[in-house]
Amino acid sequence: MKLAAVFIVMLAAAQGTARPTQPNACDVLTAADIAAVQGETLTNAKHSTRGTTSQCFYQVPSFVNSISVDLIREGREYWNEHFENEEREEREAREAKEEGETEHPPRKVRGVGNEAFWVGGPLTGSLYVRKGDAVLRVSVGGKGSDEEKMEKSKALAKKALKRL
Amino acid sequence: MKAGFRFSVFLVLAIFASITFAATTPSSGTVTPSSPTVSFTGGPYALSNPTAPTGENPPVCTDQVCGVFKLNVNIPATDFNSYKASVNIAWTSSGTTTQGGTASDFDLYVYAPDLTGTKVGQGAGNTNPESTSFDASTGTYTIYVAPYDVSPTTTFQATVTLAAVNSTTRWPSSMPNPTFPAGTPRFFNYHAPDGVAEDAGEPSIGVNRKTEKVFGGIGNGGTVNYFGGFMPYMLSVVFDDRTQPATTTWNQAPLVLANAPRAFGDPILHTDRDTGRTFVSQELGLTPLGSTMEFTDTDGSPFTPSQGSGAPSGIDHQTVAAGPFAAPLKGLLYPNGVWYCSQSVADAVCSISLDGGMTFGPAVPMYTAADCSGLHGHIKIGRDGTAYVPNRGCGGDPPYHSGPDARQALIVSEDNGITWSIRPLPQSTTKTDRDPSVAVADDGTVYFAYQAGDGSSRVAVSKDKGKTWIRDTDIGAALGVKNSLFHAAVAGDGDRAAVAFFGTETGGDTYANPDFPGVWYLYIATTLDGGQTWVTQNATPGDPVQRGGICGDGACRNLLDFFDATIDKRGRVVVGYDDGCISENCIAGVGAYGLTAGNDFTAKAVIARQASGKRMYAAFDNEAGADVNPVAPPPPPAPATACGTVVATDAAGDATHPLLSANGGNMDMVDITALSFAVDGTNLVTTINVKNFEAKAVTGSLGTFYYATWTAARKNSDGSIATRAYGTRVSVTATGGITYTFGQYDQANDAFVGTTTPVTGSTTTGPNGALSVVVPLSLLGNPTIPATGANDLPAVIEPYAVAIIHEQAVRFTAPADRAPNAGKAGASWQVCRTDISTCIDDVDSSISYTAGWHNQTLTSASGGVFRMHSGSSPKQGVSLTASATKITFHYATSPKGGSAEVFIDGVSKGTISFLGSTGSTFAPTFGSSKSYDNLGAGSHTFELRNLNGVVYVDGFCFLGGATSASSTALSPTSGGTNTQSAGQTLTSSINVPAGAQAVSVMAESTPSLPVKILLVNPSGLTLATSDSANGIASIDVPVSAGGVYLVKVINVSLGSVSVRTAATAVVPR
Repeated sequence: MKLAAVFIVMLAAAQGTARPTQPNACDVLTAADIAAVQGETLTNAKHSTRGTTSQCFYQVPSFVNSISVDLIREGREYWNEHFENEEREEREAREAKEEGETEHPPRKVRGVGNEAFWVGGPLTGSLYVRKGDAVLRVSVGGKGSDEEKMEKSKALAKKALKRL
Repeated sequence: MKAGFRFSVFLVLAIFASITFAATTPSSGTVTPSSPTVSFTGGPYALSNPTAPTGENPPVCTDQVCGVFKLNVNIPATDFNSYKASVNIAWTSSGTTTQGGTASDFDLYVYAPDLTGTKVGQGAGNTNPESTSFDASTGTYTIYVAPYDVSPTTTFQATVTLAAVNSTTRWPSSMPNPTFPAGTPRFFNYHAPDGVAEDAGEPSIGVNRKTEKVFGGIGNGGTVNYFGGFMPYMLSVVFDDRTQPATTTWNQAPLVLANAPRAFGDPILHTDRDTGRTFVSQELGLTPLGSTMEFTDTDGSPFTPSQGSGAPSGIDHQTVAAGPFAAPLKGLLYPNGVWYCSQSVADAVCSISLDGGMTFGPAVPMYTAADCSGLHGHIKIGRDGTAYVPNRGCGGDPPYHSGPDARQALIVSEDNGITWSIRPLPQSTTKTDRDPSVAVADDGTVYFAYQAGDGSSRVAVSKDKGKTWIRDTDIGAALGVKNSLFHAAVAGDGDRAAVAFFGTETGGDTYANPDFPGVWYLYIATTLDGGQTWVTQNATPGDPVQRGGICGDGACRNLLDFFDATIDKRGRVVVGYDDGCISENCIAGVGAYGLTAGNDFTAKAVIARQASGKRMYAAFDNEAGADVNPVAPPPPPAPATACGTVVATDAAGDATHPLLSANGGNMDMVDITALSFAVDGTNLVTTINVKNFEAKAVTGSLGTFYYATWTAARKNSDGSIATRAYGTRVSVTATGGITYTFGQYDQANDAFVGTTTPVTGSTTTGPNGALSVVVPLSLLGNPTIPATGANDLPAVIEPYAVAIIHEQAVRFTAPADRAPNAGKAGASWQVCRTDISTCIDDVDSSISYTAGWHNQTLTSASGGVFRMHSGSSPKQGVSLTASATKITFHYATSPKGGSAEVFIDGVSKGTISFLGSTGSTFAPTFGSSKSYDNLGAGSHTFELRNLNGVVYVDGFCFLGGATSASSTALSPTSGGTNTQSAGQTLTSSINVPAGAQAVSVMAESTPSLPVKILLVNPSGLTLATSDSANGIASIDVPVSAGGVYLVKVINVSLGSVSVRTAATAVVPR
């Protein structure tokens, strides 16, 4: 099963018309990684790009248990804007300025990458991780508390970072 | 130290080496009524917000890094006018800003007296210039100009202007609705009952088509669900269309989770049209609870909490929708996908649920903040499963995605949210202010409604999921709409759509400022041909939703950020919105004693529901019914007056506050039951009664403020009226201490203006507790109490009381209780005079009659005479000008009585019916009257226009007035009663004086059989003929010469009739 899953991932990646020399978001997790966290077999890894962001939807049989991964290889500026302390606060202020509201700040997460933040709750929670200039974003679907999803995302991020 | 910061320091040092930075110049200034303007300049600044790169509010500001200007306001004690100070800052951008942009951005804050006090004004958007205004009294204010994101070469120029508030300035009138094509969808508005959903900002609406009810054979299309503001319940509304407007039943369905105290919220409701399941989500901003989501399949209890509700969350600007999946995905336990999208820190994300909202998939970014504005509109799902999220600005200039290159855009996913595409509207412009709205017709046609860069309201159409756009149309132009906000679009069949929005005919970029002079209405545009043509209507004519600005900050942010629309099972358009103008004074724009009425700053729940016209589903067009017109609001009532002490009462048990709901405590201690005023020697005493008063703070709060406020008015020497709002406050501190304060009061913000005065007072705890404040009359300018003269203004006008609980550092926006309820005011006190009236009869020379009127005598009429008009003419009428604060019109009624519209100073005051069950056309029943009060000082013109049928005038009475002479008169009316056999012609004559302007003839047959009348001039020419209708024939013709005119009456029926004729000439006076 593990080999088959890896094959699927590699096949999906190979279908890209212009595969970059560096791994894209569909290359950073294996079927085994997915199964270890979600307990389900990877059925498809759909890759897309949006600007400089490589995005992958790791689909499992229970659709809601799928995993979304974004990878920005040159993401220092992105990180500075949204998570570097001064920059992040500035952005929050800007959003508050737009709507006259302020909301909850990202939560610092330790033990993964150079820096990491958990943003959102169980419905839309995502882990943002920086390692060097690369920024990784992981979101895990399905049941689970905020803490459980953050831990799952953290586990996946650790594995993904090794493949960057 | 971060690399980026090191770079910034280097940059700053480099810039310092070449640029001289200046302090604010001058550093202070004074404005007075006689010297109302002062200017200052500031900058440049090396770095934007150097001590707080986030940009802080309140600003962290010292001179050299931020503009600081001390403003002294000096208003003489003898000047009773209210004043506003306006601050405007402008700059010319040059160079590169701290954030790398080309457009510098300064922010403006005003505090009284400085940052240690209260913020009284703010202009902190992304516009140039920035401006704000605030109620000003004698005292010191500090203006802070913060360099939010500026280049180190940009300076600013500021101007402060002090201006008296004109208490009788009239709001602009709005363009009337045109005559609409038959079958155009028309609407009735339904306000939630009094005391229900008073604070329902940014509401959402849904229809549960599964719970449709049929009354009298008419299906109501489903139960309408509504949620907004901090409502602890969802409104579930059942319509019964056996009458027009429909009768309604408003049920309150308690929510399980969204009922916690919070400082900010994001209320969202969505009802799945296929299953009837309604989702309710609320952001519990600045609380540990994060957001909630719960759903119901039965329009109410039980609500079921969804995944993650109550857990910490950073989400914002959430949106929920349900709809079919895109192939091949299928649901588990629930047929449709449930989508949840929100703005996140770095991007905007969506996730989808396959089990009806119990669990959700991973959050997938739709776009990042580098692509588009972080905030987005509401998600809609097409019948093919395609998901659409509208965005106000993609591309353009950072950081707001603004400027000429920014575009409205649709964010689209065709694979259940796995991937997303940004599809801009290349022809569009944007103000990047408010969210657009998208509607998806059943055939996939997309309608995109948005606020364009010039403020106008536009809709574009796409047939290919947003890849290309056609028919981009200004849908407000036909009604003169120049600024628009809060678009809500729906679509049914492919060629049918509706767009609702708030619009105003007042243009300019200041619509978000409190002093914006415009009046806002709900407009609804509909298309039945795929957007080729739109018919737009003012759906609330004569009943604004807001007077003044609709703001992103401060008191005029009462309506918050959006409203919503949907379609019921039978294709009716249903709009859920909130109303900021609900009192009779606000609706009319005129308050007691002719004072200008401002906005109410409410967010009252309202549903506009299609009442007639073609439906969004053509299959239900056969249920359209006869075309209807919205019900016009009633005219404002005469001012309530009171000689007694109690001026307002309020039902016990209607207080509410989330903090008390969550933490427990005595709700009765903020439950106001009465407000009274009294004079004690040389003092005015205000007393608020509460159901059961305790001298302690609500648990978790900083204390409670009990305000009594009212308007005081004086006449200036030039006859104009000066007004001030005053307030007394009993403040219960966190430790249970009590203080008493008096001062000028800002009724929009429920706060004092400028310097306050400590005064004395007393409290009585326990049931029917009393909180009294003693104010020396000298602080009020020693008003005359009571007011006895006909033109005297009472010391206390439109009073009310509020109880406000302070939550930590943030004051909860809605009072815990108000007496009387929101938007209403108590009786004006104390007005003990007997109205002194002057009356004139209908023959008085000050009354000007057009053609068509006749003199008649009857002993039961006032003075034994009356005037009568027959026929229908919008151009004829009667007018009278008088210097009076009140005009009473006396008239008669009869079985053939018609109607006429009354105008005061050119403004319609509604229609009078002259139809009665007794009397006859020439012998009507007298005794009817209608009064028009609150006219204010000065001259006022009364007019009857748009006459239909028989109309009578018996006289007028005035309060405190004198009339002006008219220029025309009526000659004596000739005529009489004759019996004519079938076919017989009777001829009579009328002597028309030289200089006459018109001749009028009327004839009534009894019984109502057909007759014909002719008018022949002295030369023998027939000037006009008329056949009778309902037994009455009328002729009104202009004439240019005097002489003997002949009136011929022909009985053209088959029987004998009695015919009464009247012939009258209009002559110069």
